[in-house]
Amino acid sequence: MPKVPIIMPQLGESIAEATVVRLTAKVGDQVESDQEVIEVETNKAVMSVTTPCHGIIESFNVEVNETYPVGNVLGYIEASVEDAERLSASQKPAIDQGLVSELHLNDKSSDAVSLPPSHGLEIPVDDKGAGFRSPRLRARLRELGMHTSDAGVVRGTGTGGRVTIEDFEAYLQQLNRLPSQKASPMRLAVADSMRRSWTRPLATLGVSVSLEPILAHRKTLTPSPGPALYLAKAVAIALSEYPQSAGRLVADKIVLPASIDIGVAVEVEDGVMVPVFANLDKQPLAELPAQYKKFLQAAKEKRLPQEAAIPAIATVTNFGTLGVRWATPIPLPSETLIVGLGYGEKRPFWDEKSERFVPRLEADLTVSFDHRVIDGGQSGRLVRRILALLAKPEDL
Amino acid sequence: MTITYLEAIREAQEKVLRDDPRVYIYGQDVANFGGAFKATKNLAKEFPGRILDAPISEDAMVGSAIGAAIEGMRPIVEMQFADFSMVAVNQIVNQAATLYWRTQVSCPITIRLPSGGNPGSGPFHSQSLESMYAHFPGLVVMTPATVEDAYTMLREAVDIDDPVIFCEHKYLYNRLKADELPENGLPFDQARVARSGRDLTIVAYSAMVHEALAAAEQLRKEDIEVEIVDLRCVKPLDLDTVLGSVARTARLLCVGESWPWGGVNSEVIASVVTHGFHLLDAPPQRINSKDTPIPFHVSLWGAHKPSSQLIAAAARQLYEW
Repeated sequence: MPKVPIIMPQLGESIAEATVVRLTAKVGDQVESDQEVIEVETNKAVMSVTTPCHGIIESFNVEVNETYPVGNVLGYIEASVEDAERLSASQKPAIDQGLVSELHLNDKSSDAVSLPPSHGLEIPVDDKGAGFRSPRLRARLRELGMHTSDAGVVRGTGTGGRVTIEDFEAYLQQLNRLPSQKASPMRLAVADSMRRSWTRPLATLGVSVSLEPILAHRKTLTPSPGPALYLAKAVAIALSEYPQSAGRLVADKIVLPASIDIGVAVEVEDGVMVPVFANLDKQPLAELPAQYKKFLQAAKEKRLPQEAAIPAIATVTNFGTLGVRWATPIPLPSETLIVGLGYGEKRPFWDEKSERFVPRLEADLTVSFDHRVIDGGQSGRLVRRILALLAKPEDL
Repeated sequence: MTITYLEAIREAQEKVLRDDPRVYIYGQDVANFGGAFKATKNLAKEFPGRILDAPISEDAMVGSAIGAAIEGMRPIVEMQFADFSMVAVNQIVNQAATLYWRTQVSCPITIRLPSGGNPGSGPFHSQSLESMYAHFPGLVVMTPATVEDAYTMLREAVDIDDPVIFCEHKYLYNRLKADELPENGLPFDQARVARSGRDLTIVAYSAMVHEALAAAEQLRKEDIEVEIVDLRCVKPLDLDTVLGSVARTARLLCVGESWPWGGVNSEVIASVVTHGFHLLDAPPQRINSKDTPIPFHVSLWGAHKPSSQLIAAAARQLYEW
């Protein structure tokens, strides 16, 4: 038969223990439920300990005149299986089960605690999730001289895919195992510029342009301008006619250029420099080569003259010199567009007059632009105007 | 030999009574009867005339103790239950806490508050009042979680010149045991890292340290390593130890048995956010008792206070945040 304990009950609010005065039943006695079996004395009164159920007294483990704390097992009753089950189900309270109470909400309901403090309100997109950077992560990025977007390469395992500090530290450890070298100031400056620019929706379109009129025309000039200068001059004239194409969106305004200042990208060691031709629409083409030569030399020394170190409204880049046909260059953060010129090569051109393909020296011309400011139509008109100007270089 | 938390409190009082003739104990039934919980058992025999039974007037008990302290004594006042100290709040808060600041006369009294919940004790015998007393400048509020701390911190409480609210947890009285008592412990105003872990910090004190430790054991099986800071003393607050732990783990969960409004947990979180915002990788969380009076029924009581399961669930969520 199962045994059911007789327990020293909580006899009053402040009673921690009681002294056994005498036993009023003996081992082997048949007892009823709630029968008084042990008399105990507390500071307040003499009271009785009663049986939890009916059965036979199996044992007492107390001695008269000894003091026992509340919750102590004073003896056992041999009880029926039903009584034992009933009592073990109802008599589990937090008495004498060690330090940790088993009394608690079941796990299901306890999951409801400590949700992030959104209280059913819509969570702003940046609150958590992939875009969220915790204070700790931001502080760590600052400490390392990193930009918040540098954490973007890390796969996040936190809520909504956010990058936790552990994710980030693991990423750093992984990086430390790879060879690395210090980035030059020029590299960092380009990186910063490109990063800031890449916050806008940029689009690129491209067309083929015949270089033959330019090549024919440049032979007439000494010193002769390169294709990039022809293009820069053509862009300057086109923008002077369509200045809104070079406008910049600031809040609810399009800020228009005050003067047509065009930059020409120059490759230098570990980066790019952009000397600027001020008021290029008004400068004669013939005077450009000398100026360009000066700028080029200065750029190689990474030291632009003051007149060339001003902000431009657009840049021309001749990536063709690198042997590249087509590219999607990124305008500087302060500019809305950049015009690129690809590698010049002979391509078959369908000649309507002779009704056959003829070889023609061509390159691809690209325009990359801030799509918030101009659309395909506007940039298309700009490109067609540039093509028209390049087809008649004598007008430049 | 084992010694309980309650016996440690008795031993500490015996020691200070023996070492310092200025010490006496004043409280209801503390003399021949040995106190409601037996924390002063047999002390009246050993120190005749120094264990004094008080009338049922907590107000008068604390008021007279303040007067004795002004005259150079070191009284220990035993409240039967922390809840009853509310009757003496005027003396504690308006008189004892401000005395030095008004007169440059110290008020070295120790008020022992049998605190916290026990099964079936209900709204008048279960309260944890450390948050309330910590609100008032001039009081030191101790909340020992271990037998050793109960012993060494109570001795310090009597030694220091400020009025001390000594919150001893009733649930721990007979359940918590140690092999022996130390001669000395950490200084009372230093928190203790009760368990080291890399993943998250739980700040707790008093009985909640043990709930947190049990939660940490559950979480260990899930490979979540919890660091536990036992505040030991909630005022003054050892923010350095807390910040040091948050610096290691980047996550903070505070657990306390008092109510949520304006409490120890809120203060710890506010301080960590102010001084350690850059250390946090997730929003600090807290678990308190529910914001209602404390229920009698054992099951309701169990759901009312923080439990190891609640702590583990909250910690899990915070870890995964």
